[in-house]
Amino acid sequence: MKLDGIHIHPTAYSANFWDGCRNNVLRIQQCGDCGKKQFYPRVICSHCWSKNITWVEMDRVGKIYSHTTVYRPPSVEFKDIVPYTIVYVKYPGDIFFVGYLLDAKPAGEIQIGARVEMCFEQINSEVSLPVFKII
Amino acid sequence: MTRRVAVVGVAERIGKIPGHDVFSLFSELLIEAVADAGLTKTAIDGIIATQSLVNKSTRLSTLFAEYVGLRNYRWADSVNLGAQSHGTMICRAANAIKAGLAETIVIGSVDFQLSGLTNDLAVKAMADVRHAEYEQPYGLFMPAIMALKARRYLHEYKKDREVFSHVAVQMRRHAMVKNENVLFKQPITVDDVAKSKRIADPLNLLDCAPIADGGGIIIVTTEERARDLKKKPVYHLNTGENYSHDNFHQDPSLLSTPMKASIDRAFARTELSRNDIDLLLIHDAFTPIVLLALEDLEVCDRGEGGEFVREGNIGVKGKLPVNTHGGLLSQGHPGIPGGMAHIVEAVRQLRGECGDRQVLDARIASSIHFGGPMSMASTSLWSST
Repeated sequence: MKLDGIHIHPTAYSANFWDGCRNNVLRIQQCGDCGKKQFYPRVICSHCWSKNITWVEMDRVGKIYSHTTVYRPPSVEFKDIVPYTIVYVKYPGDIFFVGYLLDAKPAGEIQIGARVEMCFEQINSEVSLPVFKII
Repeated sequence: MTRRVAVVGVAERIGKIPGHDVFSLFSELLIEAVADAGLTKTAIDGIIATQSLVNKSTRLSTLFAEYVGLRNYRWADSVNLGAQSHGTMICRAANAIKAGLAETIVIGSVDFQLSGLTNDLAVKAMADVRHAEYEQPYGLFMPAIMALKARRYLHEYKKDREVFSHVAVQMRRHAMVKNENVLFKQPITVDDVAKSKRIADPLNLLDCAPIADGGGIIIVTTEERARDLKKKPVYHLNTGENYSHDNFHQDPSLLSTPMKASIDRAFARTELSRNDIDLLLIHDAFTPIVLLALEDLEVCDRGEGGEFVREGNIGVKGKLPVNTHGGLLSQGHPGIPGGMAHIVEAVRQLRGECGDRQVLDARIASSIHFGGPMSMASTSLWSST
């Protein structure tokens, strides 16, 4: 997939997530007090407002909750990669990720509920982007 | 102190409107709305407006007022909640009037997404508001978000995408009857929608509202002041709001919309029930939204919205007429101001001014607005008596 037009600027709070991506692991936040997980990364726990935030590695396998194949690009940056397939992937704890589905198939062959694995596509020396493969 | 507020003047214009900017169009609409009410410039003592994508000022209300020469008026506010701003603007204006902070308030919203931005730049502007790290890199934009919801809808209720097409066809019929201030007047069929250009499957071009210029203005005042004005007052009964999230990827189900709680809250402080609504105006930026709204309103079962529409129930003579002006889908979608045309239509229907598209004995109308990736919603209730 041609993704070199994509730019991401990690913040102080998200650097740990993106560092995980560069090392092929899915790292998200877990509250040291209430134990709940959250994504995206924040300075506090959005469930109980504790500042006792820890980072944990999460199983990269989730399930397709929905999908779409985009034919009309939102802007010129995406015109060379249409049609591309976006999946909405559900993980335990009601955590969702948006991402590209690699090795895209016709829409009729993508099953909602199918298991997908988060993989990481290196787009430059600093950023590897989470993407998904059906397993 | 007034018990409730009334809309006394309205104006709307939607389409391709070259040669204008937000200020010039606002001025023309304001003069039209003031004339509609039978008021004069000196009656206006408050103003509230929402944002534009072309003019990025966060204080458009006071800029509008300055442009039309209002000075030393009593009250101003700006609401920046995307297309949901309309419900909030009505609430803020009604509360200000009830509190005696102002008597007659202009509520306005205009933009030039088509002439001022071009189609491509308007689409890009809507993509640029997505989360910079977790959404924008994936080319996620509004049509793709609605497509993800639409796909989930078809999966959960085991339906074919044709259920969405019926909405587009019905909105076009309404626009053809309205005929003026509408972008599209050619009839379309279910087959045309199915064969229109693919945008983000399962949504095609005719499932997506076309970008337009335009906007609308309403003038609200006290019940007492409204009595001796030119037009029959239309009363604001209540508005219920609901805010769920903001970034798309925080959406917990794709199908449980923020509309439902806003509808419950709108009715909670009235003596009305859902069955009392004679007319629904819904922010139909994409066809699936209309089905979700009908189901949230409980006029049909979950997953049965498409069948309800196919049977003609949202036509002017149907069980619940919806967007009798053609909606965003066929009148055109000016972006954030889109909802103003819906409120203007509610007022005109409740006044009985709609001619060939008049809903018989229309007494109660509901307008539903939402903003963000369907992350916030408001439901307003309007009455002719």
